[in-house]
Amino acid sequence: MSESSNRAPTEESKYQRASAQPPKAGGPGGKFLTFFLASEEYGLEILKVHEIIGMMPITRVPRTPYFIRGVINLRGKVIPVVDLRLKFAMDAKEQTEETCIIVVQAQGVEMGIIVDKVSEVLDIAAQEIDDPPYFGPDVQTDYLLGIGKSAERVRLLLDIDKVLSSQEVIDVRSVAAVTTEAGSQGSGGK
Amino acid sequence: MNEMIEGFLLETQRELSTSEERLVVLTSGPPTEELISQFSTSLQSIKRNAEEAQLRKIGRAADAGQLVLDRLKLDPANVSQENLTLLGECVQALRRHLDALAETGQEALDLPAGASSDSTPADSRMTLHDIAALLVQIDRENLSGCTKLGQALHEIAGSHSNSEIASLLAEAADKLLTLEKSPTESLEAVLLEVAVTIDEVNRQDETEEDLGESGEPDSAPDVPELVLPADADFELLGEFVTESREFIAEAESALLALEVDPENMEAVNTVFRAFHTVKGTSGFLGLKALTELAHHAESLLSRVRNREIQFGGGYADLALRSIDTLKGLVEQVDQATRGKSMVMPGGYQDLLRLLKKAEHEPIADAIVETPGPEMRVGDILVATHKVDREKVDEVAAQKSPAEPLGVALVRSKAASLTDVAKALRAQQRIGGSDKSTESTVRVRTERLDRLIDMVGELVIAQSMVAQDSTVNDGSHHDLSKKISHAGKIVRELQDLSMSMRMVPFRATFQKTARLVRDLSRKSGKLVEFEVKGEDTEIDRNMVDLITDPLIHMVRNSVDHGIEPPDERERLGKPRSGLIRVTAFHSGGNVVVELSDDGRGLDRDKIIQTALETGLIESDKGLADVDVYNLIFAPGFSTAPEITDVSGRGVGLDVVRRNVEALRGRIEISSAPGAGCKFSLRLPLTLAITDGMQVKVGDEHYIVPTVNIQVSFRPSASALFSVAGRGELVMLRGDLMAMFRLHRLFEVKGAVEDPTKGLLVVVGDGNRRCALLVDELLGQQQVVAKSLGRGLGKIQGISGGAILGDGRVGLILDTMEIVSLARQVGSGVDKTELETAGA
Repeated sequence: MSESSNRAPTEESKYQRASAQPPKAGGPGGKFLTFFLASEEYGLEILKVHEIIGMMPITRVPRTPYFIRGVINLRGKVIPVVDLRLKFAMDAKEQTEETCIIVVQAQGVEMGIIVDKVSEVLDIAAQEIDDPPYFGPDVQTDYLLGIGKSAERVRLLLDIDKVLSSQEVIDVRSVAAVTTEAGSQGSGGK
Repeated sequence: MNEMIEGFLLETQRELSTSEERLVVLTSGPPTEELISQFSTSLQSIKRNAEEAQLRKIGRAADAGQLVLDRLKLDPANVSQENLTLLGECVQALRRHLDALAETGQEALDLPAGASSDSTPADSRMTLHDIAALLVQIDRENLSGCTKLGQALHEIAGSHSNSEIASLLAEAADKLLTLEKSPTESLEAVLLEVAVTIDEVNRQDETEEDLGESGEPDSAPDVPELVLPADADFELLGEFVTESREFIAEAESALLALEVDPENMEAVNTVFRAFHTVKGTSGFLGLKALTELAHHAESLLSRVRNREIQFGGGYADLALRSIDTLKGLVEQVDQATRGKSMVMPGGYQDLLRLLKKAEHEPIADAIVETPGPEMRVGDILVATHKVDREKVDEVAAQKSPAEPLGVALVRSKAASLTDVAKALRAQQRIGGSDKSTESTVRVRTERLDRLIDMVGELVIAQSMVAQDSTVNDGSHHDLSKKISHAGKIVRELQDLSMSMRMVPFRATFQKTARLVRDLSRKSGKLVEFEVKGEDTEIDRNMVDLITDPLIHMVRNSVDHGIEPPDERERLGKPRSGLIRVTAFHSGGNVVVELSDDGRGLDRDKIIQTALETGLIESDKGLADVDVYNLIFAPGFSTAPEITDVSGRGVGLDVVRRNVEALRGRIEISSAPGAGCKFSLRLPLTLAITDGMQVKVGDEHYIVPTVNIQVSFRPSASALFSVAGRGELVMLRGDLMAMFRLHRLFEVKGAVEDPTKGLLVVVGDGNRRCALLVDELLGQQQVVAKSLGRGLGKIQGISGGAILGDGRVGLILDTMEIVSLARQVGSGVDKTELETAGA
């Protein structure tokens, strides 16, 4: 994994454009890294993921939004770390053995996101991905690439660029609730 | 020369764009003092760069702009339309010159600039540029200048070749002359009109100049003109060009052969022949410029041929330059035969001057038996068992300083002539081979930085292993031995990686030497320039940043420090002044010292000026050092008149600002009549910060040590509060604001009671304030890094650093914290502070 972190960002995004983002008909298919926040499962495009590291001491940076937990030393590089739970307006949770930091490349910048636990790397075909549902004008859904429904589970596929570029807290609860419900009805189990 | 222009363009484009922006700001609202002084600084730096690159017109335009700004500075409230128009014109003129320079390269502007640069400053007559600049200074209260300017304009009008322009100028001059006698209401309008006329004429003049040098009289007496004689035979000229090209090509390859083998007399002869032939033919054809150059180059080579001097080092460069310039000249002649105008290649005069007195220039020193890293003749003789070490030392002690050791050895019969000659040759081989093995690879700095980062991480990881309890419990003797061995390698690797960013001062000092030469010539003073420690190394990034301050200080020394030769003689000093630049390492810092043996700083004059400008209220209790430091204040100048070298007071404050931006310090020492010394103390590298680790609650921060003045634990009686919200603390009779770092940064669990914590005093002068922290944890050197683009700029934090335990520590930006504290409102603002203090 460590080599991938050294890959030039431009190369990354070029590759990205060429293969991982076919026209958005029913959402892009491809490999996704899935992880958990509370009981919900999310997916990240694998090409955006540089590496997964265990929790390490985080230095708090004053006068930043509260979902930014601080900065870490990633082998000599200083990168900021965002707590995804706080970003998504969920309750904070004590860290466990399984808590870890996924180092992603969002808009050309390396950042870490803290998740409860990493699940698996999964192939999701384009036809298994639905467009994000529309909940009316008040609920934002543009940080979602789509909703993946494969192996009888529902996963919210995140557009990590959008998630990390906004300075506000994103309220995912409404979306998550509805989709989980819809998913469980559709596949007959949770 | 070309590189110089390119560098100039690059730098000036940037300065000019900011100047243009500033102009817009200035036009759109009332000016602040800061804006004006920044603007002025930009123009100053353009002017200075222009002078360096010998772009006189650009220098003048910038100078004129600065004059307008000077006037605005005196009375910022009075931004009249005229002033702005003039300023706008200056900036426009700069833009125009710059564009022309970028398009047409050096010739368009450089030629007339170079041709006139020697004559103009000495010329007592005012030029149009001067008049334009002075025009700005005229105001309603003081009209006496009008007459002077009017007369000067008349003079110019009288001597101008173009009758149309002459009448225009005469008209403008009349307007000025009548102004003083009958001050009309529309003073400004008249002045503006005159200014526009002058600008118009200037523009025409310049386009004429730019078209070719035909219109410009070549006034420098010792420089031959580059023109074809009236009776030139074009057929002969054509033959001359072809023939010369062949000779030059031969000479070039011979010179290259000489690079490898300086003893190759056949090659020396070839070069000599080339110069000799060109000299003869060009003399016959009446091409003075070529004859002159070829003649001096020929005499240089003839001295090589007679073994008066050894070919190498500076002489080799000189010969190569001569060939290059000669080639350029021949090409120009070729152009002329096809009906085009001839342009003097850049640097011609310089080269000629060098050739005329090659021995007096520093280049000659470079190859006269150089002590130091090179092997000496004596060493070689001893090494080859020809002479004993004792014998060599004995002879060396007895010989006169001017006599080469080799000669002395032969004379004292310690060594045979053949042995000495062999040793001399060997010495040259060693010197030569040294140069050729020093090959380099270009590496992207980004990669280099990454490597240095990784090595830093390796050091931390290694120390973690070394400190592991398993290793240290004494039961694994072999393991700990291996680990300490690895540790040695890692440390060596770290040293090596740090040294990769280092470059010697040599290039910077060479630039300075050149500047001293130019300046002393310009100011009519005799100055010797001495350099020591040019091999001292410093971070690559810092070399560029140190050049500017250094140049400022050298200017200062030549202009204000060194006296004119006659005055020096009267004072019993040698006629030529001495400026010495020394660089050395001292306690983890690099020190650059610049000293001169001139007048020294005049304490009384500085105090007087400072009192006049309101910088200080009285000189009571000011130590010499405090007084000297006043010269770093913005706008400070004791020079009675403004020259185009310095004196506007924009210099030394820039020096201090630059040095402080590099986290360095500047000190002055001076003795009246005996000279003055500036010492710059700089960190070895920009990347490493000397920091004090402080604890606030559970957080650790790093405060750059240079920002900390003192730290102390206050007693309860030293604490005061203002209006219930601001807090003050008294330290040795001084009151200053106190801010609690934990409140600013919302840190929980920190020490609340200042008498139980520690106050760190940061900032300087009136902006001094105390920060409350829990305790100091110790000093350490850290590598400053950015916090990553993902976070953006955090107020109060300048970056992060990897601490010894692998965690990230935040480096505080103390100045920002002070302003942050004032915004947040937990502090007291300055007026309140002052009232409280009184």
